[in-house]
Amino acid sequence: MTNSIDATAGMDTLSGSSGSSKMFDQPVLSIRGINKTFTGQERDVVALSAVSLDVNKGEFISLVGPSGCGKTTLLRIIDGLDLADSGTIDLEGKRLSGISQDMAYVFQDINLLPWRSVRGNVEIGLEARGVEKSERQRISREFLEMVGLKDVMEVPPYTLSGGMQQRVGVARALAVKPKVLLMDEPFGQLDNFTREALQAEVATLWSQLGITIVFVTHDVDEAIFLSDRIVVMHRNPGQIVETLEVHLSRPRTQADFRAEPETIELRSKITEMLRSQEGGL
Amino acid sequence: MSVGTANVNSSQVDKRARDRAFKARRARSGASFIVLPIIAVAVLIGLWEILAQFTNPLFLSSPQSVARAFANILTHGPTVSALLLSLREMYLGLVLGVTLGFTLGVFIGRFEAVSNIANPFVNVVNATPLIVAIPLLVIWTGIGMEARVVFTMLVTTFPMLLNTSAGVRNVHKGYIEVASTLGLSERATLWKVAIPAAIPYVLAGLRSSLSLAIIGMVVGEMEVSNVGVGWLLLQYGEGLQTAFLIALLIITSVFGVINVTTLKIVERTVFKWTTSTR
Repeated sequence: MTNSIDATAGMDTLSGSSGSSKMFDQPVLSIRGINKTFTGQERDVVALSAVSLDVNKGEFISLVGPSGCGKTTLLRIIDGLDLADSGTIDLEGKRLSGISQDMAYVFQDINLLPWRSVRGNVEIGLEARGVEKSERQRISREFLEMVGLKDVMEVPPYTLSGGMQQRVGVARALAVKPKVLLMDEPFGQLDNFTREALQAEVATLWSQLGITIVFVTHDVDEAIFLSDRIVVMHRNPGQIVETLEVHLSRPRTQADFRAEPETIELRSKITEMLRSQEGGL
Repeated sequence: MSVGTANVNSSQVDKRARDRAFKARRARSGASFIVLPIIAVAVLIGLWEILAQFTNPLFLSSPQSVARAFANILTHGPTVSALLLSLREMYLGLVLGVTLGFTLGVFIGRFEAVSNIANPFVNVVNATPLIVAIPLLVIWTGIGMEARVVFTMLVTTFPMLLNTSAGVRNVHKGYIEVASTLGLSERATLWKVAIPAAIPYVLAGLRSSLSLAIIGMVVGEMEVSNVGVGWLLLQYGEGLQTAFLIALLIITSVFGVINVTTLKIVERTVFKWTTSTR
């Protein structure tokens, strides 16, 4: 832990080989003792209780759990969109306060700005960082190309389908070159086919860019398909109950992964954990 | 990425189908949009002409005499310059009022402290019938153009102010969060997110201000000093010149139509996103 120099896990390293063989020396994100209570008129809701988690560099980690388990709240606290009542978050050893410029957030409801073109939406984070125009254009083109949207760069975003809009959402987040990408049920509102297509694209982008992703979902198969590790959460209070590793070799394909013995085992394990939670209510 | 390409192609197919449907819909509605109103207006003028045959011309002038009055107003130097003066006052007052209303609205909508300070004043002034303030305006600024322009300005400030502040205050939370997470400064968030997001409200405020500007102009001219359209109205009224009064009514309503139509065109071109479904 004390040895903080890790030359092999840099941003540029291609880490698409296999999930289990990665070397994790130092967590890129270290979350310690997060508590969060929402004070309501009727009653207080303990959204998160003593949540601690380490996210390794280059890792794809998913938070799964029933609605109300605090997984989105946790993601928002990591980004700084919400404040924890107590607890700390360190990014590469640095204590975070407020919103970190080294992370980017992909929203479930996307929130593209309708008065800007697709390109303008991708460039807004770059404008905030003072990147000059020609460089902004180069970067937005690069990332829109990466998500297969270079032909619709100049159109307004509301003319695109939901799946294409979320591709823009992903490109907008990637364009600021975050160390950690936070994704909050990004495909929750999409139909099945579009969702599977986007899952495959995100897996590809992740392995190409060697980026760290924290992904919130309530879709167990989605978590298994994408993740190196799956964090299962319970509600009342929101807690981490178990962290499971996924050893399926990469690249995984939508057609094959579902029938793998490991997938079946993980799926029943996670589903059982979530079901016992339901029974406990 | 093959998946992405497939998606783009299907969207192009979508677009073509959408274009076809759109054109067909426009062709259908185009007929009813243009032909029906023309027929309605023609029928109305016909009825008017018939009715005028049996009515004292003092009460209802015939379309022909109104048309003559119309031509008369638009070809005589004094009346034309009266109209031009009115227009100048109206647009001057409007531009000042809308600018002031927008600026104050942005500050009030964005900063809670400003809102707390300004709200009592805004509410009181907004509830006050501003016409009562005209004598004071005259005392302060004289009976010249200033008083009339200031009156129009006051009348047009408030719809703009109230709508703009509501728009800036009620920006969709998700847009603000996008700005926050991407690291936009307070200032950049205001200019690049909050103000653009408020544009539908601003346009609604502008629409109200545009119609109030004409009223402000005429009232100012009648109450402050007899010039422009207000002066013509008084003249024609005293002379019981019904045809001229109706002609003037049509002229001022054309001012209003021009204003509203211009705004609609701006909405549909510059701010197309406000009229498109999301």
